[in-house]
Amino acid sequence: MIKFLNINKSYNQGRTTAIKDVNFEIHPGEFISLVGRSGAGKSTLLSMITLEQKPDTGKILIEGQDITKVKTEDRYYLRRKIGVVYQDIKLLQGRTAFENVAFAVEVGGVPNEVIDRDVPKILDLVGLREKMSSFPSELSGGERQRVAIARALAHKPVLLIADEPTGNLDDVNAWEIIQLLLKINEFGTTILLATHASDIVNKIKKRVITLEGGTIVRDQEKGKYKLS
Amino acid sequence: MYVIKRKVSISLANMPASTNFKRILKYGYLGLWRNRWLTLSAISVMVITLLVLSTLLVINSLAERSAANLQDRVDISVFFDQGIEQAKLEEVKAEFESIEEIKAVRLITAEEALADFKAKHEGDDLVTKSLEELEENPLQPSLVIIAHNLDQYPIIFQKLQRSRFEPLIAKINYEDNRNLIDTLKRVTGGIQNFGILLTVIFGAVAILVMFNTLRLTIFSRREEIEIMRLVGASNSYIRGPFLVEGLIYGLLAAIIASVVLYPAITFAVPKLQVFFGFSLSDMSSLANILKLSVIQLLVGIALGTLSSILAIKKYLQI
Repeated sequence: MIKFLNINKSYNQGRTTAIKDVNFEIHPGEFISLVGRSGAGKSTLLSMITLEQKPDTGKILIEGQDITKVKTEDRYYLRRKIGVVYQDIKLLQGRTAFENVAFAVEVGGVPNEVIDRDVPKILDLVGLREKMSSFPSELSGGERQRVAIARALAHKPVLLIADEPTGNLDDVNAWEIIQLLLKINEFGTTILLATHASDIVNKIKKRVITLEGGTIVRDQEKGKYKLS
Repeated sequence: MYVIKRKVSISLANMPASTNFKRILKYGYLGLWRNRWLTLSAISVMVITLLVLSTLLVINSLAERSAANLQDRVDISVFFDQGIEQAKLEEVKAEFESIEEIKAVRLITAEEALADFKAKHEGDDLVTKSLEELEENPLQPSLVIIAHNLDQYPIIFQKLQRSRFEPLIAKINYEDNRNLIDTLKRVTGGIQNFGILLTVIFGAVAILVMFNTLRLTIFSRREEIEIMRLVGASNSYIRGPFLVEGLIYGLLAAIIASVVLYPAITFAVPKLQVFFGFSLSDMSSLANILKLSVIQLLVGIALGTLSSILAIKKYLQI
């Protein structure tokens, strides 16, 4: 479904290498954990999928199309096909859970009737039906991240990217978020999870890609995150 | 139960454009309302700009009317020697009438000139007696020439001097008028230049104030804009509301300026009429005020749109 072919990326006019010769493929319906220390290149790699950055060389193919050729002004179309959940959550404080999710769908031109029909269902899926009218400040960290996940799902994306979604959560809340992602994956959405939490990755027991210094050092089915 | 399907997202891009358009309008309006004090200042400056522009147009029109009015009074008088035959005068008149720049030629015979003179000095015993003592008519016959416009008088003057009837001409009375015409032209031009300068300055201030207002709106909503971007809003969807905001500034300012303009003109015109001494009634006509309002509307919208485009280009890089 998504192929990374010989991706290279460096900063400071080539002095700092962020990504070096990365090759891998994401298959439909997979749950992939992308692991590595801070600075290993996880975020750089993820931001290339949503075209916030472009690789210096190499191709990223999504359903056969090389997205590095997509023009800046057409990026939005790609972003509607990919949902992203961030470590810092990025919810609008002045809007309720419902409005935060609805906001993302409005952007795509979806009619209000569809929004009123679908958004409660999505919030139900993430377990927040009762808290639809709560503002982010009235929700716990875990609940806020659920709202963010609901927002990412609202577009019905082909791929859900989660960039350190549990980074600011305690163990219990973190594991609940991972379970939610696993549930979403069971429904058929492909998930790419970037994390440096080894205990979580080891419990998931799905494919693990390990990055070190910008290169893939391990890519294992049902892998573990080994600190080397 | 909500089921997440994989390949349905494409349909999102094909949603009706009218939904997006309505949302863009709604958020544009909301942006205005949330920053209503800023909006007020932006609109005030714009209203002043538009009123300055309208005043300039009115003054310009007044200057043009005065010029036209004076122009009608400006002419060249060609005096001939006494004793010239009437037939010869008619011939000269016909010849002059064929000159391209000349609009009309009026013949004043010596007798008519005398009659005019007497009528003018009726009751003045000294003049009447002096005339009676003279046996002959002391006045010369003349041709009064009117051009199509002021610029043509020097040309006509030259043509008259080169005319084959030049030996018959005693005097061409033109020099006196030229000064008046030149002064009038300078004053009109000066008023125009000053008005244009003033309009440009106010226009620039209006653009700056609106630009700054939009800049603040963009900054206060940067989080929202960032998220819009991340969830896949198109550029036009993000930028649209700011364009709408600028447009509404122009629209509101034009409406307010028109509301001010109407009573101002109906109040001022009768007073100006007394001052200038000729009719200005068509200036306060509804058609003329409507014309000014349309100009204000177009300029207002142009300024509003221009400032939002500038602010978007500078602060809303997507």
